[in-house]
Amino acid sequence: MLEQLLIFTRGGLILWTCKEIGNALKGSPIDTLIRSCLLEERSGAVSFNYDAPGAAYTLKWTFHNDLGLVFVAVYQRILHLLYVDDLLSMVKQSFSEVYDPKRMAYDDFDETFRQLRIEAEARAEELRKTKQVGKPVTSVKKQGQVSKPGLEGGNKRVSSEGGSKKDDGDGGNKAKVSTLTNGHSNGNHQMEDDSQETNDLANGKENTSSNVAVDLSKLQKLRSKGVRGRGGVRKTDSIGNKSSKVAEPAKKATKKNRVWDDAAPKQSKLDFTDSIDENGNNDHVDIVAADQGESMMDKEEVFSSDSESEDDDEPGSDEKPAQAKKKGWFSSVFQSITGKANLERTDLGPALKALKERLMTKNVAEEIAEKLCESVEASLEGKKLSSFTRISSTVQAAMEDALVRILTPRRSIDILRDVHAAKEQRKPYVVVFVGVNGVGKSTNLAKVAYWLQQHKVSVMMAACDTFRSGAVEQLRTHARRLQIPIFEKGYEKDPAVVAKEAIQEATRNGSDVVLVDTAGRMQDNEPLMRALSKLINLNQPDLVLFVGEALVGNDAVDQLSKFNQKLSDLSTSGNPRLIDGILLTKFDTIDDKVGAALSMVYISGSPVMFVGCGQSYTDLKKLNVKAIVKTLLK
Amino acid sequence: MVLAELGGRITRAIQQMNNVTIIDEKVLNDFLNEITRALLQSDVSFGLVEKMQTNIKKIVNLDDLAAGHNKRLIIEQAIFKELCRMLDPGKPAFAPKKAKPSVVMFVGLQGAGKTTTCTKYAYYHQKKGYKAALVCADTFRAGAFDQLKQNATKAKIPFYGSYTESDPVKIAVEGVDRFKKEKCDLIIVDTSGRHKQAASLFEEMRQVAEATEPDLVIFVMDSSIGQAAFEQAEAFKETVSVGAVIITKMDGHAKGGGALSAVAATKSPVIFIGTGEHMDEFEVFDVKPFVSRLLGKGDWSGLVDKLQEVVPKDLQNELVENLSQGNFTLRSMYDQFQCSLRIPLNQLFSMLPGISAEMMPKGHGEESRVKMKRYMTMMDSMTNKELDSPNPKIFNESRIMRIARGSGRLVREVMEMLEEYKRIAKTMKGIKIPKNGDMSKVIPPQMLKQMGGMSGLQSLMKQMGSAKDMMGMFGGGGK
Repeated sequence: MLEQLLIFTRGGLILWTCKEIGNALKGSPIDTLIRSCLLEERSGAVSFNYDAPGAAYTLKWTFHNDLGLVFVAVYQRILHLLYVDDLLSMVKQSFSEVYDPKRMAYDDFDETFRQLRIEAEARAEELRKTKQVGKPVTSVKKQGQVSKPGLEGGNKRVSSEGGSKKDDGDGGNKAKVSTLTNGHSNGNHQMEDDSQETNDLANGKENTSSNVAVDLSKLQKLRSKGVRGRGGVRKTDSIGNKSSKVAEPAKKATKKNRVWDDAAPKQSKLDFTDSIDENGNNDHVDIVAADQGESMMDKEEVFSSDSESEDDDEPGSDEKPAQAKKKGWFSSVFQSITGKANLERTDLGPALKALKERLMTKNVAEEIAEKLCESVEASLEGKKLSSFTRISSTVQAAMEDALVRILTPRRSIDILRDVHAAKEQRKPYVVVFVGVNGVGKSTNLAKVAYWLQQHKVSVMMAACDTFRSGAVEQLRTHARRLQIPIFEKGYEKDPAVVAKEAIQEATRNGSDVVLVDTAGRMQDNEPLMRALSKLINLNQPDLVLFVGEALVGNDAVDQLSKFNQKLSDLSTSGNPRLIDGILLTKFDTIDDKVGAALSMVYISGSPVMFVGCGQSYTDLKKLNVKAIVKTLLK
Repeated sequence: MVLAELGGRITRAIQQMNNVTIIDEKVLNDFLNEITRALLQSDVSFGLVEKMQTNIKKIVNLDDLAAGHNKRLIIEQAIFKELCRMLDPGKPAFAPKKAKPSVVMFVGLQGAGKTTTCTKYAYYHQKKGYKAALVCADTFRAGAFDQLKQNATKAKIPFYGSYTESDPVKIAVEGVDRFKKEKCDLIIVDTSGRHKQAASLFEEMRQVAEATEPDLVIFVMDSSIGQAAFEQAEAFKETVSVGAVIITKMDGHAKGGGALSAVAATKSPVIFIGTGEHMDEFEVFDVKPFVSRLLGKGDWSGLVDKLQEVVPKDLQNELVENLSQGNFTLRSMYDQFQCSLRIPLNQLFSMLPGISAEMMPKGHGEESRVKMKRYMTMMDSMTNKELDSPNPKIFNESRIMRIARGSGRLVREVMEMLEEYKRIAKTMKGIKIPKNGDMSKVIPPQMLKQMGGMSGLQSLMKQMGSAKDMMGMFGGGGK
């Protein structure tokens, strides 16, 4: 039955709990609901499932936006209570009548709640009885059995039997359709060649029992059956025999050695490059590249939009006391002028649709834009519209708050502090860079190394991209320019083992941080994703960074969800390591289409820790949440 | 296959429309809304989607004036036509000629896959008989020349570059001149990645184009790019005269809408799509077969082209001769495996109608390939008598032991291979090839239905030259 029902304000003050239900909840489902669902603008969802050792709850909620109240119900998932939605609606309506912002205790609401609960349960019971009354007629028609209306279990049995009977009927229908199809095809055969009539009849009999072939293996089976139907081996004519005999000596003489590659004759010379000494210029490059100035990671960005934002806030605060005063004196007059009491779903529709289209043109994934608009709609429905305020501006303000909340990191993204903590434990801090092909993992790994160097942290690189041509040389070049040790074993090696040996080497040398470069891979490539999971399970890095480019469109949703899913499914431990943070690259190529950041953060729940905005080592910065939100909504 | 999700959604929308009894304005609007949503989720730009919707409504309304037309067929044809129009700018790309030097320049954003695509492009034309060469004019990115060098070495293609020269114009000019002297007829210039926000890099690209005077400039684009694709492609077009587009990374779950945006922005045709990191994961792009495949109708001409490319012509006749006599030996199976190893199996299966792309997860074809290689290793340990014998009873215990030792495999694996050979031989024995070329009795009825009945089969026969080629290759393709 119902485990708990809770009423609290948006500010977190608990106003009332159901005292009748004395059960202590296992774990903290309501805290998890608030943290994972309500705060991350997923409140448009229908319910929330909470899993903890020994507990499996379903939580449902509703809002009273005008009063700023939240109503949450908790019950066992296995029970599938049907009346919880109705109960929440009735409780919301009754409680809003007695709600006073100044009161802190509502003990007298207990009796009201008891009545509402009894009423909701009775209504659900009536609904069930109505269904039962309908069931016996149906079951009699289907099976000729007499059901027992009073028994709930009996009712379930009748339902399941009816369902299975339906399935059987459908199967029979499919079989009939299949028979007709095969017969028709075989008819075509008969019309074309009368001499094959007997064999075709045999084929028809065999094909009747088979299903329609969809994939290649079934087609193979059909060929086998066809073979049986056509009878025995045919005679080989004499000409064929003679030809075969003549060919045999030639075949014997022509057996060749196996060459696995295409046997094109190898060209004597492939490299037409002029030969010049390679070492001189690299030293020169070292001198030039060693110091390119301070990384943007340490600079605080100053945007003119910030001052604009301040200007916007100021008039609002000025107007506020005047508005309150006016409302006190002439509230009825303004109510009639606006002509709108509460916001309805139909009112919000056009504004939200326009807002969704705007988000999509800014490269937010369609699925994410849809969910955001649903969440904003849920938070605004029933709220009273302020005087002289347009619906579109209300919707925009709500969306702005939601976007800022989503993009603001909820936990620490201070890597330097984590590095120092790991240093005290005398073990290196391991960062693994993962992502799809061509997003700039190696380039941005070098930027992170440069930034860490500027903070007096000793860094080592691990070249675990053992597949792509030029990958090891690329990382070696970066290491040489930055004067950083690199651990690499060349190509065609197991990346997990290379990473493990790199970490051991770093522990011996006393390096503070190991940056692990991996090969790019498509999220649907099962063998490569398995290899990545092996690398992470074996080495247990401190940070798993997903490198994604800001140019990506709807594919960002698929990439991140599949990367996380693979890391979770293929994990060897009970607590799988998922993506800890996002490194957003190529930010300078998108102008105002900054939606990929929002898509990635929303789908993964991980914060953007770095933003790459160019190809030099200093082009690394933090994500400016306000600027992003302003660009998305302007 | 490519764009599996988009194709699936459009096909389902068409099926839902077919289930409706009467098609009125509401049904059409719901149908178009679903198509629109699928395209937007594939990152097609807003303007293109709106234009398509308007055009389809116009076509359907015009056709409604004529009485007795089949609305469903008209709508389906309108969808097909509009998708082809999106992807086809209406003019062909430059095609290099043999024995005459052509310069092709590759440009694109960072990380789009230009170097990999350059090598694939060169490898593709090398197999067609061209004398291809690569010039690495990417002097900016770390490891760029090493990457091209390693790729070129694997593909056995001559290359030119420099570790010391930092001016890409100079390297490009020197490389092109060098390979012209070497009588190469296809010289490919690889450049570094760039984007429209870096004006100096675009100026550099223009200089490289002026200095090398390319016959064709190819814009390489990553298929996962979102709404910024249109503007970037347009900027490249304004700086150099882009003549063709290649879309890369179509093997993931990428939406591929960037392809449509790139075509619209550059007004250039898509000539190839890249579907993986290996040299042979590279497909010629034809608009009508692609859209037909996208809508679940298969691509027979692509299948035939692929098979003809792989199977040597002299081997075709030999295979058909053996099959005609019911003589399927281990050598026949060996030859078929050898042909099959040159086809990426995922590409092959995606060309068959009725076989959904979602049934072919990535990496599945690779396992079949490994299995084939193992079998071929075992067959390399057999004698000529064993390979040519039509009777599998010749394999007694001592022969099996010898084969297992010689190839380094287990005895059980050798026996598994022989069992598989017997099964295939039994299947092949039942296939007789009639003299008059009547194929309908050979192909199973369900497959015949998928191909479109007799008319579909006849059109397929026209595309091929001979019925015997079909059968010989079909066996190989089946693996």
